[in-house]
Amino acid sequence: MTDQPLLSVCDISFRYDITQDVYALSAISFDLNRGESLAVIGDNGSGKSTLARLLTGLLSPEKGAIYLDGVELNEGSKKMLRRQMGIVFQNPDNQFIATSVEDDVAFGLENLNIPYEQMRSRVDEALELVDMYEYRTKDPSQLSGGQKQRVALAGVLALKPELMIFDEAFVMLDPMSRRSILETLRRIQSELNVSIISITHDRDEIEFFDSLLVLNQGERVMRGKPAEVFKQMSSLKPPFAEQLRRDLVDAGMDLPDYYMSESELVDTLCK
Amino acid sequence: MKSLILGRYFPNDSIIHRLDARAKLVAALYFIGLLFFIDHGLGYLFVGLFTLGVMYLTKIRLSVFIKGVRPLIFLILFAAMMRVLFTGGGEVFVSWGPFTISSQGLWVGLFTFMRFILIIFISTVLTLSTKPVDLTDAINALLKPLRKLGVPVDDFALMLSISLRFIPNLLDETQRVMDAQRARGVIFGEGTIVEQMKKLVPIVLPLFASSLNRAEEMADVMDVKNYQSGEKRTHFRQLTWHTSDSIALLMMVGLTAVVIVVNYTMV
Repeated sequence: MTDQPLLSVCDISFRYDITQDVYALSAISFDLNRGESLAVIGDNGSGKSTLARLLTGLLSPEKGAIYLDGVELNEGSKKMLRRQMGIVFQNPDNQFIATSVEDDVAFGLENLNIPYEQMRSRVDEALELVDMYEYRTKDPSQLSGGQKQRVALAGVLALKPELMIFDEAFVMLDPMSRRSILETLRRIQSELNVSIISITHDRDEIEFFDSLLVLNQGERVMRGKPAEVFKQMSSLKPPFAEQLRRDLVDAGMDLPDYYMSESELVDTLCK
Repeated sequence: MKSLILGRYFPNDSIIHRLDARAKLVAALYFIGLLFFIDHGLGYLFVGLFTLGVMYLTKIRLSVFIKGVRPLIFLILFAAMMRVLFTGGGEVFVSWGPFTISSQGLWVGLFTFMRFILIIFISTVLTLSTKPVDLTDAINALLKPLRKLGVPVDDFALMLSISLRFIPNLLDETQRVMDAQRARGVIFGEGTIVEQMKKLVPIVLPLFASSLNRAEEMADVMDVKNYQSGEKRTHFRQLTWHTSDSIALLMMVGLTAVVIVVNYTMV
């Protein structure tokens, strides 16, 4: 591809305590294209959340550099680059800043000094996208965790970012609403050509993403399409569908020996 | 906590609820100021009836307002009693050392009592009929001129609204911590005062810790969303001024006129 990637992470390392030789992340590199979605997976302490904080400029890497749209992320460019990205964190309560749903969605727009009429339409649009429009005047104590997380997502969508980052953002949701929110995300990704990075330890989220980045103890283990990753790394706990396929093969069923997403597996089994 | 009426919002749909928060705030503050200039019974009767009229218009039951006065009633009675005992003049009924009960003193005591009650009633009307956020916005709008002097009015307003937004969360969390302590065998509300106070330490500490964590996470979110203190930002919440708001302020002017007339003609 001649087009430069939207995000390029070059060889970044980071440690929380510089007096100790323990790196939260060491020499991580990867690229992300426009409109591509990436799931970062790894166990606790693998450095996933540190990566999210580095990408948003909340922390700065000790070594290496992060480029968004060809511009290096640093103290000076941070403010400008943050206009192009949005992040949703894990705890829905702590990211609800305003006193009602629509005010919270508008918070980021207010900071960008956007005129009222434009804010109004962008807030309504974002709330429609996440199906929370009829809740727009409610206050946070009247919402469930999943609904608050949808509001946080709307707050990011209203900013029309080119890169959306989710730091374990779907962990607190029940399986049904997680599925529907991930489907919404995938639709947005293709409609608006947005890049998505989701940091997760939930294997069942994986099939919604174009590629995977596997971290372990701060080091990059692998980057590739889900099919490649699970083919090569049999030690990695696979998503439910893949686990089922492996179990069926073990039980002697005649199934092709490669990674399958849920829908592929259903199609094959129904033949 | 439940008995504290002053400072709580009562959702309702009334003329008073629909008034602009700025109009209500200015009118209430002006009204309280005005109360101190009345020095005739007829004036008090008039503003008293006005207050009752406003309370009626909020469509909130009278008992709610009475509840707002109750925790302060002893303080008010005490203040009124002091005025009665230490004011001389007019016909003296009882005189005992420095204390006198005179006709003048009884009037002054009654005025003091009325003044306190009306202040509480009118500020209760304000808080019961206005959402805390709207009140914050109104304070923000009224303090705007201070911005020229370099006072961070917007930051102050945002701080206020964030604190208001987190009150329910803090209450929830207190409940959770107390439940966790109960599950470990702590019994609250028993023992001497010192013992009870000691039991509060393991509640307050986790609350502090979690509030600090929360504040940090929120600061991150605000940071990523490009909040910058002192930077120009637009406001999604818009206050709209209606004719009824102007009328409310005009009524204050009318009240002032009545008070002046009563003060000068009824001596």
